Amino acid sequence: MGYVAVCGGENAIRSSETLLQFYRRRGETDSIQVQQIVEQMRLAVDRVMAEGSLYDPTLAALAIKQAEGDLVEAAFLVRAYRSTLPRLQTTPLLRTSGMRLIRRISAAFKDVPGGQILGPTRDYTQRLLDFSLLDERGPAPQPPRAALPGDAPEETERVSEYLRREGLLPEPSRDAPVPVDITRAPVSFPMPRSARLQHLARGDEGGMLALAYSSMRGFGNVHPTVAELRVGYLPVRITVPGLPEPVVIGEILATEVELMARGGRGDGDGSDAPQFGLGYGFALGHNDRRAICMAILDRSMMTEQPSAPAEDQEFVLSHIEGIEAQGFTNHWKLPHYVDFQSELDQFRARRAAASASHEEPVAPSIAEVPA
Amino acid sequence: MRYTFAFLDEQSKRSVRRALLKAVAIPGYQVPFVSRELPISYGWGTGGIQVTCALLGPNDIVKVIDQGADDSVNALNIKRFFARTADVFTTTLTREATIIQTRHRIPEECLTASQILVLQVPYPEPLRLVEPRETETNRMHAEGDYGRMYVALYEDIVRHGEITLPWQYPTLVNGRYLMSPSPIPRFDNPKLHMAECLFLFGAGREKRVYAIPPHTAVESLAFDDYPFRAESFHGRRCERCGSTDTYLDEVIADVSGRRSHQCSDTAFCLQRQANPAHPRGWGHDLTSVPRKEET
Amino acid sequence: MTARADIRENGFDHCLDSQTLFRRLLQATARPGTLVDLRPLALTVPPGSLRPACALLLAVLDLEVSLHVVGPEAATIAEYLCFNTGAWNASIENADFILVTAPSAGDIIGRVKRGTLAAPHLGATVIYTPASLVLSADPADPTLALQGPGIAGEARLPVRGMPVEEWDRLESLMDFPLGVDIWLASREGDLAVIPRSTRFRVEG
Repeated sequence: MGYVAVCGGENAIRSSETLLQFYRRRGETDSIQVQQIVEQMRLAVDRVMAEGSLYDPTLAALAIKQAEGDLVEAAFLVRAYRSTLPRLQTTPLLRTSGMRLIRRISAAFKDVPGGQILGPTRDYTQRLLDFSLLDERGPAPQPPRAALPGDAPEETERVSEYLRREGLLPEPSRDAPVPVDITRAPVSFPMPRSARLQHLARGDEGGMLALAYSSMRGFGNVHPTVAELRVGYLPVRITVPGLPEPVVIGEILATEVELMARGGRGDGDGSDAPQFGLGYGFALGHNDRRAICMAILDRSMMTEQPSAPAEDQEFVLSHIEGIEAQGFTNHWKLPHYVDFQSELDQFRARRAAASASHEEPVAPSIAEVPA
Repeated sequence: MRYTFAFLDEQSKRSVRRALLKAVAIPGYQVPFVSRELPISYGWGTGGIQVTCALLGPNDIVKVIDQGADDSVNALNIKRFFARTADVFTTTLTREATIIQTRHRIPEECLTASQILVLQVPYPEPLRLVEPRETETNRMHAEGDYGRMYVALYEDIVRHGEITLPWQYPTLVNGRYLMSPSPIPRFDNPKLHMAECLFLFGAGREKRVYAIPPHTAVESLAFDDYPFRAESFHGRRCERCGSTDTYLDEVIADVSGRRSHQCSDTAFCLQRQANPAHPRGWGHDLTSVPRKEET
Repeated sequence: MTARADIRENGFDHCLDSQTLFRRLLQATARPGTLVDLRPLALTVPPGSLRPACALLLAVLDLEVSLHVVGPEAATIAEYLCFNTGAWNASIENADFILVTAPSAGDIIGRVKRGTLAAPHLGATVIYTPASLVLSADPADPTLALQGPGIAGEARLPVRGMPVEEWDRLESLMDFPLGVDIWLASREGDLAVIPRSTRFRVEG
């Protein structure tokens, strides 16, 4: 019995680690190179970067390799690593209109200035398994010439700007509060929008998908239209003391969604004419689905009178935090025998009392009745 | 890649330390703090670990227990984490430790004024039993409005003739804040009252720390005509050391279903095996009120 | 950013000294009125009498909290503490930590943060630098009688170098759980803490 044996615990952990090493590398094939994961599993890497809340494709790929493909576990590895990194600076605002686009669509209009650019998407493919991939040989294909990102214009104005000029979307408030940083300051409910957006940006995709879907299907009031979805490379600038202008230090690939919805609160315009409200989604890397869910949940949490789970910010934000959720879910495997012993004590007493008085089945105790 | 002393960076440690100082100044009140992700999962003791990391110095001696046992797999994992990242001595002897991190038990042996007990907490909010919303529980604490908890306990008595909360039994601290003592058995609740040592509670996933200073009133909720009652081990004893006054784990001894019992606090059991008169020493009467059926 | 060799503190280890001083603060806060020795203190910049208070603040301040200094050399001390920790200077109404280098702060102490019922932990920490916390032969020196969590029965704490009126002002800030937490970092190098959970009255 090795679980809580007097001297067996240490050995049990070591043996378990040895077994894990075996399982991670069993078989005849060569070790997967981290660079292969970066290059050929980009969407897994993008998800892990988003939920790990750290932009570094190589680290995300390493985490995926170490976690044997468990993306939730990989995101956890990245988040834990992120905790060890010093915070050097907060960058000046990144303007997504300056994104070097590889994909840009609008569902609101048939065509938009700058065009509809499909980019690398599976949306219009047929989901047929491609068996040729079982034995893929030969060099990687060359990038098609006409679709090189360098041909796209410097700045592509967002569809939401046109809508604002027409008064269909409210102008953002000029004196919006300074964003809080949820990794630096404890934030309590009701949370300011900047905190809600940060939670969503690093939330577990599965949890967000379920809640956003519930909202679309009627457990909520959001009727969304995707004003714009764009994917591309954003330059990241930092300020350097002594230099007059911020300096570009690199680019990140990101996905942004702006979603319009009828009803609910606008962003503070205060006028009487009907307007759309804006839901905002953002993800590190390329992830349409994630950014759309985020925008829907952003919008649904603005509902004046929450009446569905997706509208209740305490419900949404407490439960989409994947790192916490997986930890607590897994923690039920820890020994709970002392607590259980305490319950047995109670339970046996109540059963004894019930049979002594020949009563109906025992009523639930305070510890069993949900609040 | 080098990690800093006790893993957390200095800024994180300071943030936890400031929260702890406020927690000790406001006994029983849950101070929010920004919980860092650690290489150990939320739900597995990260709150306790962050508190201990904020406390740890090179001269500390650390003991880590889970369900009272030093050799529980998770306790060992946490102890290894401290030994690796802070290079501190570790021990299984309760008397020797300066810091004891624990999950779900308070050691049988009384702790002294030079010891700190760090408890791992999954559910810091005692009012969660009657209210799921944080905005409402915050209001109840702000106003000291705990009526709904008392009503729920009263209804329990009406249904069952007694309060049936098994563990994590709510307490009123310093006459002001309702506090969850973490999932310790009721048996351990009296140890919190007017103790010599400092109790610190860490909830990583829920991002709260709280504290009970020494010599502080901690009262387990009850009514005048229904006093607080701990678990009873009437008629049972530890098969290893013979104790009848410790919290006992029930073990299924063999395939016939025969039950036997062992002290949950493995270190204390070893002490009692060497010396059956080894005292527990907590400064007040810890014996439970036996149930009517047992007298 | 220039090096500021004049105020850069080289006598403080931000890892080990912070930890040692934090444990002493924890001990003093958990046992109000108990004297804790802060020495030896190797700070190179502040004058000897302010080293205990400055060491405590170097241990707990960082870029997430704010500071306000009242009394002689307030601007110099504030600059030194903020430079070495990243904390920022704030008004007395907004500061998380208030250092009083004079025997008393006077009426402005009434403006400090006391927290709210929803967030009592936001109440400020006020640090005084009395001459001594050790009993003297002079019976006229005031002594505080303390009761509350952390104290078995009653504790007595002599405080030399703070006028009695200042204790009246501090008492009017307290309405548990609202209030401030008081650190007494004596010029001799001792620390005593009076958290807001402690009831105090002046005797003698």
